[in-house]
Amino acid sequence: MDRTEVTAVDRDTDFTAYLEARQARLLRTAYLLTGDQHQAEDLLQTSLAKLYLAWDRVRDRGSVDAYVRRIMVNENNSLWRRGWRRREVATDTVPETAPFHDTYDEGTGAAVWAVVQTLPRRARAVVVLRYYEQLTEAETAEILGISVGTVKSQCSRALATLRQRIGEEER
Amino acid sequence: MTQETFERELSRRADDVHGTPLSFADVRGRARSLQRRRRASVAGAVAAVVALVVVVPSALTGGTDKGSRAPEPAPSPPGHTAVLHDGTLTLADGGRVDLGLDNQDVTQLGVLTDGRTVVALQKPYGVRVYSADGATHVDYPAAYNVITMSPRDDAVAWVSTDRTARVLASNAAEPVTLPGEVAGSIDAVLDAEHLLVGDSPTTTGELTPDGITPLETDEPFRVIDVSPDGDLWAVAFVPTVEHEDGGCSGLYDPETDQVVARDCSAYHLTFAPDGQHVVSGYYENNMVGNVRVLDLDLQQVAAFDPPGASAAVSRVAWDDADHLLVSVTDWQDPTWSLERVDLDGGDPVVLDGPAPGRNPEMVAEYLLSE
Repeated sequence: MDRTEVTAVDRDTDFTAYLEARQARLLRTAYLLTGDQHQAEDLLQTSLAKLYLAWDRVRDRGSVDAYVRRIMVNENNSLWRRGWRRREVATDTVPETAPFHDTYDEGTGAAVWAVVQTLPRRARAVVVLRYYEQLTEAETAEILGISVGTVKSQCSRALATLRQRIGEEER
Repeated sequence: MTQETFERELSRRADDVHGTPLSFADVRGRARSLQRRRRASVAGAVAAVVALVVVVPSALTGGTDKGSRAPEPAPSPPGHTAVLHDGTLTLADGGRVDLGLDNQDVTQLGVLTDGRTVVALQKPYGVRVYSADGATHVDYPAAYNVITMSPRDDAVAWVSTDRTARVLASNAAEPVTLPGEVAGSIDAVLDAEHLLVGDSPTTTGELTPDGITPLETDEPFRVIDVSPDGDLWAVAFVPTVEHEDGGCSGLYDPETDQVVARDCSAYHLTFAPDGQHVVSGYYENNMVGNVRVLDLDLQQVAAFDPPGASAAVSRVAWDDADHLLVSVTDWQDPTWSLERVDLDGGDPVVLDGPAPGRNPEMVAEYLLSE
């Protein structure tokens, strides 16, 4: 085994370790971004493939998670754009068939999900990164390439939409 | 309702998601597939960039004998601009095609990715499609001598005399006719099967092979340009009493049906090849005033104002993502030059001229492709 082969094996071993440790969590993030399990799995596989191709550049920077999240968001937006052109998924109304409606929380879970599903892609990514991934506003802004002010306003708008929806359901 | 509600409910929903675990082989297989596609596209892009860097300066500065040049047809990389001057079209990759056209007879031109040149003509009135080497052409009757190119230059459309839309796609021998009459204009060509059409002041619908679907937006506007990836439209709002002189311009996100930026001092916005900037200019008297480059928040990042009291911009277009191609003239003593302007603020590079020419109010001696 020459030096090049050793390096490649090391890299693949490192990547496999990351894959095994993080893919379950990343799949959940992908699901929250896409709202669809099949799309989420496809998004995750493509994003991890892009991460693998860039592995030598990012693995030593301690920023692998941020890197792959950025890939996922960009790839998801790209998929959405292609979908928009095909007119497959375009919707601007709140789906009436939320997957489940818990009785113990008086529908709050379904309301949150309905709001998330109707958010524009970028705003949805802000909400997922801030409220699921628990990133700071600055970290979210950096990953999405937007200002902290935009992160604040998108979150504020999402919360306002949720309050409005809950209010409507209670009336 | 608080942030904690979002955090709790998103976690709860996500916790229910369990997929089939991806193996290393799964990921590596997808990576290799991506890598093959990247290599193919990089090879093409490198060839185009090398051709642009090496050939354009000598071709546009007249470093070779124009009369002895054989036409060098070559596909035009998307996002770059061809220049029609003195009867010769200089392509974005430096190739030259002798079309024998007088610029005063041409209203617009575009170069399809298959190398064919499409011109809208004042005389003879209509649309003409030249073969890649310029040796042959076909004329098509048109209701207006106006063409609309797709963002990727892979399709062009015009309104025929029977008021139907004709679309010519790259590598297609003949244009196809889309059903239904176009009330006024073809404002944008998203691709060969998706056109945005309108009644001139506003864009009213999307025309496809299945017919016209009304475009429902919160406020009326006309689409001026579409970003390369289609995710933003540059639009012009209908003039109001407050802004009757050209109205306001904006960027519209069709995905969310939202105007994401608006500026009432920006006009005729055209996207850069990478979609990250737009150029704004006020078209009047066959010239362009107040040429500015704006970011996607419509904040100014650069401006171009040729020196001299009577100097003016005749035409402006994107040369690449970081440079404008500007045709500069003098409306008192008509001299003409073609300049390349760096967005970083460096001095413009004169690519051709200055040389005497005709009255810029009547003709553009350098016509830049759509």
